[in-house]
Amino acid sequence: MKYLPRNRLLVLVALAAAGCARSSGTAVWIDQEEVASLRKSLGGEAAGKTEVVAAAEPTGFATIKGTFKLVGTAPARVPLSITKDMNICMPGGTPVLGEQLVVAPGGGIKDVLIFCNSKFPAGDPKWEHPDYAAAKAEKVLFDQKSCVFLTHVVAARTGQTVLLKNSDPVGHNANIVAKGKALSSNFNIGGNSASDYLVTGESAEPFDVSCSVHPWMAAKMITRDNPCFDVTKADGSFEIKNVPAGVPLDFKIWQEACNFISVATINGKVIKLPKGKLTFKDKDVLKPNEQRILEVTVDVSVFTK
Amino acid sequence: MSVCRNWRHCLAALLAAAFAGLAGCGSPDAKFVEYRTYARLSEKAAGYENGFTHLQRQDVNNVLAALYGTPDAPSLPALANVDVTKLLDISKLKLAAGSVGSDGKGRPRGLYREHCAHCHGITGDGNGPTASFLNPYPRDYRAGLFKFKSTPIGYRPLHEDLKKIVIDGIPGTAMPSFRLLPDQEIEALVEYVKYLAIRGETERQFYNGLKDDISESDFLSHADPAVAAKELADGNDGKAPAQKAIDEKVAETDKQRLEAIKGYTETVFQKWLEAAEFMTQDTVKVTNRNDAMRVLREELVAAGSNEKKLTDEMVLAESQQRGRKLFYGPIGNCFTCHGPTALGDGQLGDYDGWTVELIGKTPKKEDIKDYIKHGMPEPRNIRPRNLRHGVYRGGMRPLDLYWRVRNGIEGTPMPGNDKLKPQEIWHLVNYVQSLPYEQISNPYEAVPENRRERN
Repeated sequence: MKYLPRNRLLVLVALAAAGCARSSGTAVWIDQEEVASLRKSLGGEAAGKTEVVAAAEPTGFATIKGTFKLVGTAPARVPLSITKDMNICMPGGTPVLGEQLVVAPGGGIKDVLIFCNSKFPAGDPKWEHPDYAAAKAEKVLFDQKSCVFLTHVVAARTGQTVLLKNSDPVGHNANIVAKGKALSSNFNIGGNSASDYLVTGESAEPFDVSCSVHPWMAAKMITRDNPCFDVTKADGSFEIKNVPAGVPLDFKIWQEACNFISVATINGKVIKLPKGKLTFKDKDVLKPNEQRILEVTVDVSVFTK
Repeated sequence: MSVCRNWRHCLAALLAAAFAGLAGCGSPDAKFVEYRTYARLSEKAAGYENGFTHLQRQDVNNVLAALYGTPDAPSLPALANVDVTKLLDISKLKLAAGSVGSDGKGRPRGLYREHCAHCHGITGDGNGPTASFLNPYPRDYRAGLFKFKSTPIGYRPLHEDLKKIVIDGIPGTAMPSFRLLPDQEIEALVEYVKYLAIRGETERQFYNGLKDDISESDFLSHADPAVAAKELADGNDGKAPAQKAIDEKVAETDKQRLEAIKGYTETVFQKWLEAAEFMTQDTVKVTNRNDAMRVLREELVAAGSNEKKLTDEMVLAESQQRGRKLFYGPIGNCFTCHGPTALGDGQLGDYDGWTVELIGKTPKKEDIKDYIKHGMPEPRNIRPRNLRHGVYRGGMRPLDLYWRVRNGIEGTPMPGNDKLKPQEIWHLVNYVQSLPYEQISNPYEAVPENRRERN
């Protein structure tokens, strides 16, 4: 009593107890009630996959075309560090520049990807124009020359074959680190030869393609189930033919330097694009045989922030 | 005071209290940890400044627990479009799960925690207590990517592939062989590794979902009646909707949510089932090395070699010569990474796929710092194998080398070679196997010139 008053005793006991708890880091805490109810609903639900398809049916086909232009001064392109096969990868000693953001003298932005993000019912000619079915058998060319992937952003459809070509005398490979339902692949492509890559499923966003032999080589690939997509040319122009008209559609706009473009001026109007999403619905729905022109300007701050 | 009438009583009370305190201190239940690095990656890609909310993360954890249970009580989801039992056996999982011990009949429990968790972690995140001391780091199963397998890059490993690694270990790394365990215990461990990989992949799918469907960011949780009411009102010129309409909308959203959860989970299982199916195709079957050598022999005889004088050693030497040509040629192209002398010094600046996914090929300092904070191990460069040691991580059998050359190594810069004929791959294997026995691999020790002879 004299030595240890009761409150100190309590403190000691408390310390003894507290000292035992182990730190569990970021161990998860689980709401047991919620888990039980979820488990019940997950197990008890009926079978069957729901196809997420817009209820309306297309009434025809339209074309979307336009250009992407930059407002402001583009950041300077960074020279790549070339360390191998100099005579082939750096002919004449000219520095090779990175292709993250390539802007033409007129302001056109190269390699902007615009793709339809809505789900099309598979093989329905009302959604997929017959021209696309015919083009499916064509291979998508993905060439490499002077240790540069000539198509910096390559887009292909599920079921299509991408021809991984090597036009250099040295060996390359295309290390495809796929996302979504696309398959990863990495095969050697000998000098002046080619290899095939079959697109097995779609990806919600572009993924990396690189060369293990020449680490500075980089490109992006996206695979989609529906055929409505394009990548802008050097002058910033693009054209998507035969887009289903008469139905609301979601598009997504992406550029390597900024990922999905968040804000842009489209035909003079500033439009916020949540995660790059551009929606055509209600009065904006495409009409059959319409030529929808999109003159898009993007401020340089979108790319540099 | 009544407790401490004198100092003896006091001491006794203190001891009693201390014992009571200690007795109450068993280990807390083991828990899975969150996939923080991948969540961080998704947050960054989605442009979330402050990261996913506590509720969003809680949601992911709840759904995962509903699908896969806990480390002590694993469970498997019932999926309509995928036969889960084809891939995982819950009875074997239970043998491997839980804390270490045995049941009344002496059957073991907690095999994973006994043999694996200290390196690979309770969650299979490759971040157990010993992980940071090891080089290479233990595998993080949660991406579903494994290096040493018979399937090509892009496909999940087969059950037998993982089993081989457990039985043989990985030479040249800290992964030991578990050959001495009974077969059913090895089977249980392999099942549990698959289970953790599939669970981790599902977690990735959910974070991906959170990232992609940003507007429906609560896509995993129950629908909120207030939100549904507001949406209905917005679509109807601000008029308040009827309770029935709200209920219907909530029910519909909840149904969609369950479908989304199942869809994500099925995708993961399908990938594993796909691999087994793919490997039954004729085109991927491996030809025998002896057959390849017989064909080469016939070729040599046809080219004018004396059949009687042509020994097996001569055929092998010819095969090695051809392999050497491929090794240094533009098709095999092996020397660019493995080095002109095959010492594994051709390319030293790469990182492996698990690291590149988070910080990219040319990482920035702040990214490295950020991901280390979230559980990424300190990044290390991945080195091409030094082929002069004769130690091959994926296995010492010629067949293992064949698979490496044919299929590449998942998650590394090592590419496969689908353009080489099986016979050519065997030539390369023969050459690679000869490298440790070349003179350059075993240089003579230099003898000092003025050495004093001792008796």
